[in-house]
Parts: sequence; structure tokens; C-alpha cells
Amino acid sequence: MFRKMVFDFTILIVSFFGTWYLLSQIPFIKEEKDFEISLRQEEEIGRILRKIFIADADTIDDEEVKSSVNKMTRFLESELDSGKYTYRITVIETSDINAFSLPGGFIIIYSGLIDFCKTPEELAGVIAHEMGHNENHDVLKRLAKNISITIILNSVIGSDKGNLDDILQQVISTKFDRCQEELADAFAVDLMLHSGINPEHLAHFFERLLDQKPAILNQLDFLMTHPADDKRIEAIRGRAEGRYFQEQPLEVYWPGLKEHPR
Amino acid sequence: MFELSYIPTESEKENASNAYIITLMTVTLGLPFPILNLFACIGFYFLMRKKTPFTKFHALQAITSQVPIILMNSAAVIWTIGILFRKTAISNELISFVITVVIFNVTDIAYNIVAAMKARDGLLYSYALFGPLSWMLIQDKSNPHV
Repeated sequence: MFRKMVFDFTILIVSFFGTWYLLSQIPFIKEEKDFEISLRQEEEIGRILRKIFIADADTIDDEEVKSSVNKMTRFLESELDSGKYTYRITVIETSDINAFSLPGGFIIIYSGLIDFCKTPEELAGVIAHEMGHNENHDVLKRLAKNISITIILNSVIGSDKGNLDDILQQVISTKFDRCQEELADAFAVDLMLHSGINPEHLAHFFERLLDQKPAILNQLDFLMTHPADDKRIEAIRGRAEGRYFQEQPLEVYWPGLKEHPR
Repeated sequence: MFELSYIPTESEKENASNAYIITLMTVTLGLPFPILNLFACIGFYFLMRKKTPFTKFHALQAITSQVPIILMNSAAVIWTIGILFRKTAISNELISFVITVVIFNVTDIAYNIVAAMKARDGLLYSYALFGPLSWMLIQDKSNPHV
């Protein structure tokens, strides 16, 4: 009887794990495929979405701000191996603390974020993080979860305003998943190290963001869409730990950037 | 397969049949916290401990057959809650695991209903594995009825 019980027990275990294994072969979740989209198409999507976004926003056209942000971006970009995109930053006048990527190398930064940053290196860290989302195609992946890339492309080609508004809304409000955030952080740390910027600035930025959470909850769009926690900050420090880099000063006029005309 | 040396009374048959229904209800109602089911089942076993071999066999079979179900349900609940807390994406593995658990739960329910009916008819209906295990557990040399 005991042998029979052992046999039955084995059958039970095998049937459970066998069923699980067989079912796991069925793709219940659509795998994210690599996008069959050219850089030019991606750039076109980004350009149109940026255009729609800034149509209702107050952009900062101050030369001092534009030149400082561009200088910072070119500085980071020069250390990138891929050279896929020419990053273009647009600064929007609003007290909200936020930054987000649009496809094709377009990045939107809110002036509230610049005000919140204590050093240009913190701002460079955030830009590097957004570059990471762009390099990893995170925005398109996120969009593709709800809308097919073909529909996005058709909306861009046909200038379908209604669809494009929806697409833009999703870009702004939807969270990246933890894995995407971690990869963008890792990318930012690597890029900062290559550029001679201490990644500790990015860790500090997230720490201050978390510390001030209750006080400025309404303005913390960045925290809402890029949820930070201690583990994430630890991961940033962990990735940078023990890695050699030669610190380089960021040659931007920080007071000019902070005190831009409003 | 197993035989008793006496014919169960109507009350024994009813108790034996109820054992399946009660454990089934406990597992179903306690699904959000499957570990509670384990305590309920243990409590139920202690209530049945002093009963006759026929009732005890069915009660034990009902309880022991719930153990893997409780473990599966607990794993599914913990995994799902873990994903919600960590805000990570739902994986194909989790979905297939939950479906597997649902299949096993439905099979268990079907077995329980059949066993409850057989017990009501006074039969020693035995599951694979859990039947022999329960039979072994109720063996008591001092009890001439077994």
C-alpha cells in the first residue's frame, strides 16, 4: 500500500507541474515584440506629440535656459555609443516636478523640476534617466501595450488629432514598470559615470523627492510616474559603487538656469 | 478496496457526508486566506477524532485531500499579492499557475461532491493517495471495527 501511495503522490506532483508547464507554453500575455519601426518614423511620432503637447503649454524660450540645457544634453550625448538619436529638450514653464520622454529623442522637462534640482548634476542625472527610456524604447513599448504601433503611425501620418491626444495623454500619465525604471536608472548611472558625473547626485535627487513627498504631493508628477523607493536609490548607489570615474564639472551657468525669466 | 466489519448507521453516514461539504465550504469561503483553512480543517479533525471509523475515515480523507489544495491556493494568493505590492507585470507563469490551481480546485470540488454522495450511501469511497493515507491513519488495533 505504501508503494502505491508513493506512486499516487508522484502522479499528483507530476500532474500539477505538468499541467502548469503545459499551460505556461500558451502565450496568455502578448510578448512585447521588437518594433519594426524606423528611427525616422519614431522621430516623426515624437515630433508630432511634442508639437501637440507644447501647443497648450508655456514653453521657455529664454536663450540662457535653452543653451544651458542643450549644453548639458550634448555633453551627455557625446558619451553615448549608440548615437541613435539627437536629443532635443523642451522646457515647459510649470511648477510641477516632472520630466518625460517622447519617442525619437524628444524630452520634455518642467521648470518645476529645474527649480527642485539643487545642482546641475542632478538635472543631468534626470536627463540621463529619460535618455535611458528613449534608448530602451520604453515609451513605444508602453504605448504598444494599449495601441498598436500601426495605429500610432497612421495617426501621425493622418494627423488624427483625437487619437494623438489620447496617445500623448498615455505617454504623460502612464507609469513605466519597475523593470523599465531600473534599466533607465542603470543607463543613467553608466552614462553619468562615463561623462564624469557622480551618480550620487541622482540618488540624492530621488532621496529629496521621497523626503518631501507629503509636502509637495500635488506637484510630484515625477514621483507618480517614476515611483521611487529606497531599493531604487540603493540600486543606483550599488551600480556606481567602486567604479572609477574622473569627475568633470558641468560647464553650465546654473544660476542662469535656475533664475530663468518667468 | 477497504472494508469495515460493521454497517454504518444513518447518523454516521450523515456525518461522513457532511465532512466533505464542510471542508469544501471552508476552503471555498476562506480562499482569500487559505492558511485559515488549514486551521479550520485541523479543528474539524479534532471534532471527528472520537467518531466511529466510518466517519473518521471520510473526515480524514476530506481533510488530507485539502492539504495540497490549500498549499496551491496559498501559493497563488501569495504570488498574486506579491505582484500587486511590487507593482510588477503579471507574468505568463502566474496566469498558467492560477489556471492550474483553478483546474485542481474544480477537480477537488467534483471529487468532494461524489465522495459526499457515496458516503451518504454508506460506501467507503476512496481517493487515490488520500484514501489509503486516511485508512492508515485510522488503523487502531484496539478497535475491532476497523
